[in-house]
Amino acid sequence: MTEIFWLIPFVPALSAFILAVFGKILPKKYVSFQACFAVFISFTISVVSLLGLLRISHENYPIVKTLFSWIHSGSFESNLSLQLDPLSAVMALVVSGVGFLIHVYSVGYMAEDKGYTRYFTYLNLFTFAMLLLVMGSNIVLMFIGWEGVGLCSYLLIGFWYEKHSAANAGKKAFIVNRIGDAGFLLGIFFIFVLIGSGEFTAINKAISGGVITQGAATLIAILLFVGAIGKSAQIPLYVWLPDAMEGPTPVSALIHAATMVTAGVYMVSRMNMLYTFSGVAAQIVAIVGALTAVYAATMALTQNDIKRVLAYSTISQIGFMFIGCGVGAYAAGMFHLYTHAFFKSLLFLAAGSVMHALSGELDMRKMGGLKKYLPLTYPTFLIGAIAIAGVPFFSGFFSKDAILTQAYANGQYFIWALGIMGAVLTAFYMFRLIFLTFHGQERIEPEAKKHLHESPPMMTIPLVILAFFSVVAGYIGLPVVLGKNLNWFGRFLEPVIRVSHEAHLEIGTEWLLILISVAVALVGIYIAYVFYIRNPQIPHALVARFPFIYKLLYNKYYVDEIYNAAFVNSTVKGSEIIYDHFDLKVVDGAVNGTGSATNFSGKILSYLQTGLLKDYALVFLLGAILFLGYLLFF
Amino acid sequence: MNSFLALFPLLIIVFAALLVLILEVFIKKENRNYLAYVSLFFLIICGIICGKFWDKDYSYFDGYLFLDNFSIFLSFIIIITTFFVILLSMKYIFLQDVNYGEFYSLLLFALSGMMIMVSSGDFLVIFLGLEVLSISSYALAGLRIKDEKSSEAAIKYFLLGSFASAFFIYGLALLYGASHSTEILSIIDYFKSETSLSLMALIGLGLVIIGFGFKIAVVPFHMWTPDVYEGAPTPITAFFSVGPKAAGFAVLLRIFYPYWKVALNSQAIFWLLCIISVLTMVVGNFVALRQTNVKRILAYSSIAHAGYLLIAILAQDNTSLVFYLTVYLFMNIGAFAAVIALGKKDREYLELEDYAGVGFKYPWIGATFAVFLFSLAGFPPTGGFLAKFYVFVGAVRQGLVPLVIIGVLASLVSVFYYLRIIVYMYMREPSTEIEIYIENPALFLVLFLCLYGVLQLGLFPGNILILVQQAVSSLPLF
Repeated sequence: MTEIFWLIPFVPALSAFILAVFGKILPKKYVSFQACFAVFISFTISVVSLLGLLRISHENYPIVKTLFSWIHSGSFESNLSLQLDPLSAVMALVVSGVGFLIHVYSVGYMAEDKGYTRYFTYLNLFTFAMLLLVMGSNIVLMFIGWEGVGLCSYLLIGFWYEKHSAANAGKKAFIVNRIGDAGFLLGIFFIFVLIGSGEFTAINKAISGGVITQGAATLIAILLFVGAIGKSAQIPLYVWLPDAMEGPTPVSALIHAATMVTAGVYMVSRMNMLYTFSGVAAQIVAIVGALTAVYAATMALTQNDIKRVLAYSTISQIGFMFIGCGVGAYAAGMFHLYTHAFFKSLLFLAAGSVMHALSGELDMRKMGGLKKYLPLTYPTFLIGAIAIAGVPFFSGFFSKDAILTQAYANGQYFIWALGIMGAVLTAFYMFRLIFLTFHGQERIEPEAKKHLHESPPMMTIPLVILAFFSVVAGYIGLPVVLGKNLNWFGRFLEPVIRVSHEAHLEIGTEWLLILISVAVALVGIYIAYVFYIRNPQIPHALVARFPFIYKLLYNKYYVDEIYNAAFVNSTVKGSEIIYDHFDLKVVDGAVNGTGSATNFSGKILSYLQTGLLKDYALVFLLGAILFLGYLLFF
Repeated sequence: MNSFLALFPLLIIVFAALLVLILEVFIKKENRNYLAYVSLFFLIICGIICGKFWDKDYSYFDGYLFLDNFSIFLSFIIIITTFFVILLSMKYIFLQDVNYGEFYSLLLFALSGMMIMVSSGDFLVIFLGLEVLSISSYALAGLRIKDEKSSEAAIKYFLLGSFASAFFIYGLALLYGASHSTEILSIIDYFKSETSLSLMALIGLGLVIIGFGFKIAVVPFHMWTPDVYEGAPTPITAFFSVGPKAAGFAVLLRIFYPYWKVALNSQAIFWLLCIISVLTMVVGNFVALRQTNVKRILAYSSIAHAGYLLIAILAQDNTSLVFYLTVYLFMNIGAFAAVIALGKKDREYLELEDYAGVGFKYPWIGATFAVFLFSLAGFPPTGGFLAKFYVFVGAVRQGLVPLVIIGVLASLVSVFYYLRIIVYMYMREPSTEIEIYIENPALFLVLFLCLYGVLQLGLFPGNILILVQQAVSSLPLF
């Protein structure tokens, strides 16, 4: 059954195609059924393939299926071929599994929307692009998926394009991603120039065979990472992600949890040999990740928009994943990606459910005390928050702990300290969110209160499923201290992550690190409790005391404004000047000049075409004479 | 392997041509479509048999006629061309009053001539094929008897064609005189053995090239092309623009592939072909800019394409050349099919103004026509892009960078006139009341197949490329 793994991306693609062509005439019920079912098929095949993969010995990894070869010119070869190995199997499982639940949730969430079919077409297409990205066996195919994901995110973030802010957010996501993609594309060019093939197996072989120097590897790795910074919303290209909230909430869940932002982490893990070989590049990945983890968390502290808090938390969590990859613990990074997919999609969908209950309200200052109104949403939201905060026995704890332990074990104490700081902040802002939303006194608008209701089962069932996984998903990768062979996840990925820096610590040290992690999470939660339940006046006092810091954080360090002033406005202004002076005069002038010159020579030449037979024969004869003359005398 | 089977495909076509000629007597004028069905049937049979003979390497007449993979592949190209042209003609001959019994029979005779040309290595046999093709072509061009332009086309084609044949046969006589052989390989063998070429041999070779230059319509032997293309019935124009060109290039490939390997004194010929290639691209593309008649635009475009194909000959890049011919078949026939689609009883729409707003009025025809034009202009993801890409890459590899730069610039110029048609179709309000004869399933089949071909070759060329490589690897190496 494993042989059919190549169908995984194409089932949603087919579904998207059918919806795009026949969407207008299909009944709504069928549209939602087909869209969900297509992703479910992908999910089923992913499960089957993963199980099949377990039965095959490691030497046969990866299983490659070449569908056809597109360009074959000399040494340049470009194939459409998909591969199945532990890494792509895990990713396919996460993408299709979480993607499926989001599809189901969307059926309820989007029920009233007039762009229903269009929405599901894009959603299927998004899933297809992401699956292509993770299953392609060469970097060109990865890039196609990479661009496809960018395009779909643009379409979905700007889904309500009548809304000005939504259209702008879509544009922003697209343009910021383009900046990163330029780096990625350059990286691909260098791979083709220096290695001559985009196949991952060939790249790995070239690295282990010493075909490229360490400097070249660093160059390629950094260029590719620029793409990852854009796609995975890291410093300094993270600005698009918070704005991406303008799209429908399930889309945010899809972007944040299963697809899109995880692409960068996947890419770095896929290229792990390159980053490990380079060393410098890996260090850069770790530093960018750690800085982002803390930086984004500080911005989440002061936001009042429930989805924006979650958006900054995603940026911060992706930072954690990059810490894992950067310190050489790729398996730990991937592990966090996998657990994060569950609790982050859970948090987003639960936030969507809150919004749904409050007729679209997003401001936490207008919530409070929702606990008793939302009997299903509240506990699931709480589970998600506990998981992301890193409380023991929940999935987030195991994966975050794995990353931090590895950072420490590899001697990256600074990175580790930043990670710990990020963890405290995470626990704090998540519980700030919980307390402000569900506890304390009610601050709900009277109008919204009239319609207050729990969401339909189509939306709550996915929440329950995701909550379940947010609890148990971590148990496939237990830390070494609990037993040597319990890190099943790490061992499964071992064949792909060949050069591993999994350092091992003394048992005592490791226990100590775990205790610190636990303490950090609990401290964060406790502070939030003190601030928002026991002494609600403390935050106000702090704001009054440090107005500057509060303002800085609340306005997200003014980065959007700085970018606008430094890049956007100057680009717009500059391009206007260039358009006026250069385009209109020089370029247009040159084009028109060339055009008329070309046209003129055409006119001269067409004079020869007299239509008279004798002239034709004469030209023929003259041509022949010149021809033979040249032949004889030169 | 020496076997009578080598003659089989050719015999089928000749038999079909004669059969159609005889049947014509017994069939009423309005039932002439049956002749088309008979012809199509035999073409399919012939195609299947050609397919069966793949890799068999049959030859007959002491090797004067053979079916290596190369000639089979080229036969496929021209058989498919004829197949499409017959499908295109079925309604056309009723609508445009060219309903003569000889129509299909002449097409099949022309096809048999081309098949002889591609499956021989002997100049004399090739000349026989060329004449069979030419004489049928003259008649086909003038088939619209009541139209002055058609008669003019026929007489111009005939006189200039005879002129070219004379050059060819005279060149062949000189070559024979020098090398005592009419076989391409022996002649090249002689070229290799001589340290300095005799005047006779050199002039002979030159004259032979001029003769073929006429058939493939390269500058300065191209003057007949626009007039003949314009005057001939449109399906026949489609036929002329693909079939004879493919056959002509096949022969050139048979000459030059071993000739370059000898490389003796090839400098002069090499530079001459470079000049011709540049002239062809420049004149073809530039003059096309001035045309307002779509058939003439396509005529000059086909001249320009011969220039690109010559680059492939110069780069000794057989695979690219044959691949280009394959793509060219689909995109050019497709473009002509779209032109034919826009027509009603006794009226064809050939002026640019007629195309205003067609894209909105007939979205399917407009869209497919646009795809063919994009392909001719060389936009991805169509086959036209890959074809040009391969030719130019092959030429760069041989160090022909200046030639490639001119080629790219020339095709940049070509974008203008191809896009102009699209601009008319999509950005102008309909000016004339076009009504077209829509119920024409055969024509839509051709449009669809060509569209499929252009996209298949542009997106997934892998399998065809492998076939092409097998075909050219059967060319006799020296």
